[in-house]
Amino acid sequence: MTGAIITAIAFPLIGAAVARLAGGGPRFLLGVGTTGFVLYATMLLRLPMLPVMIVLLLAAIAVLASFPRRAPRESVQTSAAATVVTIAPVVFLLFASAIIPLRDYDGRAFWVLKAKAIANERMVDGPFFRGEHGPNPKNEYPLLVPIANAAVMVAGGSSDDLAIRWMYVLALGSFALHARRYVGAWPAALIPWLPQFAISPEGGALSAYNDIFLAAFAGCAFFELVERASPFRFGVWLSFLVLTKNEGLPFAVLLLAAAVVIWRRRLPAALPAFGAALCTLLAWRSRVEPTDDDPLILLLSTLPERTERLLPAINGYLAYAGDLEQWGLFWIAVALAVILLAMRRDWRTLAVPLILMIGMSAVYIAAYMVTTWQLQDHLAASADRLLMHLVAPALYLIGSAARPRAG
Amino acid sequence: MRLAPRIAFAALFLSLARFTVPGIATAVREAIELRPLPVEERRVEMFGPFYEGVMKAAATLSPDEPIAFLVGDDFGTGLFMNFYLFPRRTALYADVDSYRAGQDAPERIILAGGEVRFIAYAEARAAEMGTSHVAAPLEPSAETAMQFDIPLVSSGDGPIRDRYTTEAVMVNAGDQEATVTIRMNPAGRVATVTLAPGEMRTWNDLVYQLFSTLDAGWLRVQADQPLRSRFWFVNRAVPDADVLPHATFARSFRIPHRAGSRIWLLNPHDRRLPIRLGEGEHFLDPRTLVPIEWPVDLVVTSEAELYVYQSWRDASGATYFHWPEGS
Repeated sequence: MTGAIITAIAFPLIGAAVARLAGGGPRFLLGVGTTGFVLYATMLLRLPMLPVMIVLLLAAIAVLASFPRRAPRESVQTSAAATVVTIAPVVFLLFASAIIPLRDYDGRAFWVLKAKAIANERMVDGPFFRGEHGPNPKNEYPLLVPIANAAVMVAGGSSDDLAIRWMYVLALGSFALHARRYVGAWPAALIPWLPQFAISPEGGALSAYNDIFLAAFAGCAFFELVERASPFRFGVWLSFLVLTKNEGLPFAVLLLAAAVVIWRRRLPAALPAFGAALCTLLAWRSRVEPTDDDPLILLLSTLPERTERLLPAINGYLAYAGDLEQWGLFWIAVALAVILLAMRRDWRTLAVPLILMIGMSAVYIAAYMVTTWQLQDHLAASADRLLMHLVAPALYLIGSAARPRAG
Repeated sequence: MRLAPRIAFAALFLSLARFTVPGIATAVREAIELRPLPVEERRVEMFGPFYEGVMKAAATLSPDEPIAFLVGDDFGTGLFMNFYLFPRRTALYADVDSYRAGQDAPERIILAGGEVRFIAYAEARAAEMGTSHVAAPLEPSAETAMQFDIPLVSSGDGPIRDRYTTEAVMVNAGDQEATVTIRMNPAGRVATVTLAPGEMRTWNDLVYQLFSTLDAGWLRVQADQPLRSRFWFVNRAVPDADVLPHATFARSFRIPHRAGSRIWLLNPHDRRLPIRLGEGEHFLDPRTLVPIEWPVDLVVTSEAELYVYQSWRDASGATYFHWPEGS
């Protein structure tokens, strides 16, 4: 329970300080991202983990004590009913995850194992990541979330997986509550009700896959962009995205490309955080060897020879989007929202979400085409989780379509 | 919201809740059931006896002693045990060959999928071989004998992947129950096998199955009933099986030179045996089997009977024998 309490207090505290400096943002997600990013970079610089954690916490308290709270941005249009609907599944999931030990595949085989290794070695390139300790599968997966997990383990003095179970549920809740401002209270309330987010054993809040975090960080970056809010915060979210999963880098690049068009001269404010994350990732990658994952960048050169997999990959990907058990009518609703917005000729609303959804889907389908996996196996193992990453732009379309036509 | 979007939203929400509500209810129910248990017992409840067995077995070792898991195709189970035992070092191997090839492979082995306990390498090797044979057909010779010597038997490993065994078949050709005494030399281990009249018994790794050890040598077989039998020298990695004849002792053997071959000198006596190898005088220890390499044609002579034969292997790992007639 100590880990759960640390999770529920320390990350929001750090996130609140960052939000105070950056002018807003979901505290829990900002806290996890900042902790993971700062520790990632400082451990690469050989700074000791625990003192950095303490400094981070003290700095957060100092910021909160020193910087006045800014006047809130325009208030969120919400209702008590929508709030209850949003929070209810999160409460039940918090209860379950506080008691049930981790049981999913990737969480145990890869992600939380990395967290244990970091907590044990206090390094991100130590013996475990050099393959000197034992099995270190998926060694090249970025470490932001495992580092945040490890911080909880170190602070709580236990590397039991129960210590970090709340992180995933709270990330889901934080994402849903944050999305209300941008997509509307009721569309945002759908997020914790999506079976793939709430209960899927592979990627859901009761597992320790990192797709909720990736979806949330991508969503937060998307909201900043589409609402033309803060290029600085946009850069911060991109930095978290890059350090969370391999899919984060192409997603960040795509978001950045869209930001070039939207922000033009304001864009440089986004670049320092993104650049720092990219440098951190590259520096870390130069110190660890990949183990057992497909070298997708190299395999992309085989794309012209794998065209026979294009249609099966698209069909398979879409079939998973239509899987009622994981998605209900969600993606059908997204398709209807696109049609409605197109009929309204609301191209401005449609453009960015569609570019991101189609762009990232193209990246994923290209990966399915060149992978050494059997296509059906690869789709079964990943399609639902990849679709999670696109939920924020998809909800934005639903929310926009549900609103009365402007004028 | 206007009415139409409200209806659409309600339909969408229900399509999600239809699956999410039962899923969350199941999780909450499970949490309520597990809540009274300590965390480790919750895992035992969830992951069953293998988890419990491994954790108990690991607790008997010092924390820094590594454990090897032979996992077969089930790498997931191995990875999970790696997760639960961390920071104890574990190593996962698909099979015994990978274990043999592994650098610094842990001495302690747990076989995934079976009863959880530490097992010796030889036991893991035997478990992996199961009951399969390489020699085919597995039929005894037509001739009967009550005492004979098999000039080479082995249960052991060669270079990576080479796995040597002795396969055997024995039939009691008498009309009384047969007691067969099998003595492995030079180690001196003795095993007794009882065969009902007409009963046939087979072994796919005779030395390990009779003596519970990995060893090489020669066998003296004595029975109180006539036996029909056949023995094979097997390399399971090739796979390759060569019939092993009964040793035919003599005082002099002529062995032609063959590059890369070994010449085996078998002393069946309980005393040191003086022998002449070419022009040199040497001794063979009692009941010993000694391999030598000789650069030219070799004549072996002795005052008493002995047995000499030759073996070599090709690039594939198949073994060949020359069983000379002495004089």
